[in-house]
Amino acid sequence: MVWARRCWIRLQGLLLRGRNAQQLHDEIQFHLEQQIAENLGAGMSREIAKDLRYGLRLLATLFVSMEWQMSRATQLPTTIRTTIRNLNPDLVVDNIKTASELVTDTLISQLLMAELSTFFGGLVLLLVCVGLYGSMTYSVARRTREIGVRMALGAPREGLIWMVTREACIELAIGGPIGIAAAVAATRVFEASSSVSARQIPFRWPRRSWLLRASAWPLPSFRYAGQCASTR
Amino acid sequence: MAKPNDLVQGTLDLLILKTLSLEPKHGWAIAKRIQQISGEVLQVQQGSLYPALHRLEQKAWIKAKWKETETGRQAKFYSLTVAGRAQLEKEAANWSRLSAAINLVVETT
Repeated sequence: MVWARRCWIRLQGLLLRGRNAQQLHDEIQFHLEQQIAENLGAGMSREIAKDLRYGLRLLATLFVSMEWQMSRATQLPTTIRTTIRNLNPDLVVDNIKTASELVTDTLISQLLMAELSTFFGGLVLLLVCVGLYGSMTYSVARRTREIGVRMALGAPREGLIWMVTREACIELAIGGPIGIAAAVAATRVFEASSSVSARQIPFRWPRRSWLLRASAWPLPSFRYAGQCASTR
Repeated sequence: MAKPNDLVQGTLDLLILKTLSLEPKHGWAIAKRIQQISGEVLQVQQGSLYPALHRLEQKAWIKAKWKETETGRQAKFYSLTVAGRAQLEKEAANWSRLSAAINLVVETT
């Protein structure tokens, strides 16, 4: 439930960037207004407060219009520097970043990518399971005649079921460890290249995929072995 | 008075969650509360506070709602979610363990 909510919030964050930037701007504007009010209470002169408010309003207008035009901070720092220089030439402004950039710089985008990767990874896993089921079903169905001959020669039903299941289990014994090792290696590579820990990814499909593979592999074998064994 | 210190890395989330555990607050009130409670030692800058608030909102540990303040101005009020309360307990326990361990090292060496 919390995971679904997080995904929904992040999706909103991606789709409603303009609205979120505007809201963030309103929030910071409120914060600065409160700061000015407090400074006034602490003895700051009304003239400086007026200048600051004017500056803030000017910056806010510039900031919002620049955000809406999506003209990524190329002209914005220059405009801000000019505005602040006009207010107080002694102030040095360095390394300007918009609040939206600060927020975007956090882990949100990486977590979103991780969750999307998890979703698509799960989808691929499902398709692989369906594919495996299909191929096993086909290979067992092809051997119906052989199984029939074996039965005619007196092979016991349990022996036939074990014969087919054993082949699936051998494939699982080879493929399972390779799959688990690959999944663990991929998770480590992902963790090393990102600041998002695998613990933060819901369900952790890669580490649990062997369970699904294990269940997907022998199932058709049992089913078709049983069917063939009951053939008369 | 000494200059307020920067926050210990990784503790901002805990401080915000703890501040919101009593009642919903807007960003300014959260920053002021942390400053007051810490005896003016900790000061949260806007550049850290708002990204952190948005990060916590994305993690669904806090939720936000626009409401009127006592001055009639609209402000974004943040409150703790159920998941946030659980996270607060977890982070508070981690912090107690970590600070106790650091104290042990500092006092014995």
